[in-house]
Amino acid sequence: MRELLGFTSILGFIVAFLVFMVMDPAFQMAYICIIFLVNLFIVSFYGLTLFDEKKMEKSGKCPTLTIIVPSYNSEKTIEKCLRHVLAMKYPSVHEVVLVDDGSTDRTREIAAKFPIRIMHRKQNKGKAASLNEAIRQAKGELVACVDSDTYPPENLLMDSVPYITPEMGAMTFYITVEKPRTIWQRMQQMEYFFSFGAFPYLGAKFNAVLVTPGPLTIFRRSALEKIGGFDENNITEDFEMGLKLHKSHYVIGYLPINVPTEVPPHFAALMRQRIRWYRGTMFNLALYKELMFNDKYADVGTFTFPVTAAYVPITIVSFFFVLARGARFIYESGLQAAQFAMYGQMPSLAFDPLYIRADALMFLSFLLTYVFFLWISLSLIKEKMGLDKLPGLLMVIFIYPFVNAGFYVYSLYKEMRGSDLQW
Amino acid sequence: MNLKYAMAAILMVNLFFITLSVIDYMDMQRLLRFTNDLSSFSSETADLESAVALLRAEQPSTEYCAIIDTAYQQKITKTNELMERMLAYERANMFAEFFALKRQFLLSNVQLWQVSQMEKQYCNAMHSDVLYIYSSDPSCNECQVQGKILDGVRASCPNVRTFVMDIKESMATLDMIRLKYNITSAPTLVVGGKTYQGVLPADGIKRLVSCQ
Repeated sequence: MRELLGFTSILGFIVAFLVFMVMDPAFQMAYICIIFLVNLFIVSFYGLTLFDEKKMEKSGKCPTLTIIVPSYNSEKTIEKCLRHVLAMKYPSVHEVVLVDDGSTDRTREIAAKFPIRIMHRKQNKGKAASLNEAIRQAKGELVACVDSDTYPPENLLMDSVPYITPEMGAMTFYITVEKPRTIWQRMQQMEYFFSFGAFPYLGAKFNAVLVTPGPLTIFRRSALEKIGGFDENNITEDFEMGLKLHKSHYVIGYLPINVPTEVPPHFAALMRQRIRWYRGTMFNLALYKELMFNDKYADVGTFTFPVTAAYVPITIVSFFFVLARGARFIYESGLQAAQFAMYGQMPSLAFDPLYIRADALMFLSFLLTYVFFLWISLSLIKEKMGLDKLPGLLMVIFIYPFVNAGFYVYSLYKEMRGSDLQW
Repeated sequence: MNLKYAMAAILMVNLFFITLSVIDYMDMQRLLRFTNDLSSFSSETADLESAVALLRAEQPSTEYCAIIDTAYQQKITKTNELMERMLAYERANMFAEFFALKRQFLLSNVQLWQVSQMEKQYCNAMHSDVLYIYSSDPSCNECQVQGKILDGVRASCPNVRTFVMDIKESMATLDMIRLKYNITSAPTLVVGGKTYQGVLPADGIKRLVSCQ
């Protein structure tokens, strides 16, 4: 049965590719227009909230807090992480708990040097299980879950905890990339600016932050207890948690405080991470489909959830659209090059601004809106757009959409096949 | 709450129309630029046509022939440039149609070719006329290759004049020429009253037009 589904999805991919291959230019233009309109609607919706004046309520209270650092084989980053965690200032009582999820390296040895509580688990059971166990034993009213490769700034708690209102189930932050070195990290740095910058910042204005990012989120312990903690069988427990909080009508807050985290340095690691994310996205979207177009959940039900859900098929179909057009282009220019070579004639390269075609113009206008959102994202944490960010920007514009869509396609195939879910 | 969605939809439609009007503006610019170039091209063709008509009425003399020849040398290079631009613009245009302009351009081109042949007949001129039948179908890769080869030939042989004609466009003049020279496919070259089907390499054309 699973093999059949996997085979059917491959068949579907081939059909999509062939359909776009032979599609009439007019239909191709229509497809581009539809995608363009959908994107314009999303951008307009977010853009309009720019002018929404929503003041953050400041309760001024600093309740007790427990910081949980789940870790598994993280000897490389744990020392820096714990130094940052311990350096955070906070006026009330707070404790730091490190959950060692059966590490086989020096993680525990390094952590022992710090004045923190260490919970040791003999068996590796995953991040969600570690968090749940630590939450059960936590004493603080608030629980901050910090990944062992994340370096929170000193003033994070002082600047954010006073803003956590009683109806808030979680407070999320602006996750950024710590010192990008490889080209893939530079690409992710720009991507993180988009996905953790302007969009959640604007989304928080109408309570539509969907994810509680794994690297760092502060939860209200009573909320976690009420909804039953993290789902231990879910591979993207942070997305599931966000949806679960919304389902119980909790508010997820957002503050643009820069929290650097380590990201996969190579393509293979990135692919592994993304396949996990996107499979989790598809799985959880299906799991929480009752949120779709449901008035009870306000803008989450009518906007953010449907947009997130629509993004998956649009990305997958567009992948084949671009693939088919690319294949056609390569085929035609290859044929032409062969012809030119046969008769010993070089093609001339003429440039005329009036040669620019309609689809290129649409792409350009689409790009402009995203540059606008990038500018908002950067100004939120007072980052400068320097030359060092140019390779990442070029990657995120020209390489990332296609690679990312490829990950989505592969994730869909794996999800259909029902291959083992793993971290 | 619904107001927000309506506002977003209105903004979306506006942004879409802004983009469409930029596209439309580009279309119009292409049309305008091509119309300008074409109208001067057509008037020059008409000028040459009446000059040759005068030549036929009068006793052909070397002075008259020299005038026509100079006029030709100035105009003829435009053909290929216009042709290339027309193909690219036609592909890029979304709303505005190039149909009428294309017909006018093709007709002028064929008229120019006939004038050139007549000039040769009356003036004992040394030039060779090459009529190149192409297809505007983008999948005709040979057509683009042949066009570039002709560019090269014209650059190295000053005595060659090239003219273009579409394989599909239906006009009385074009239909008659197609019938007369038995033209069925593109690319095809008509040199000195003979038809050559398929791509002709540069050396082959140079031999036909006796240019070393």
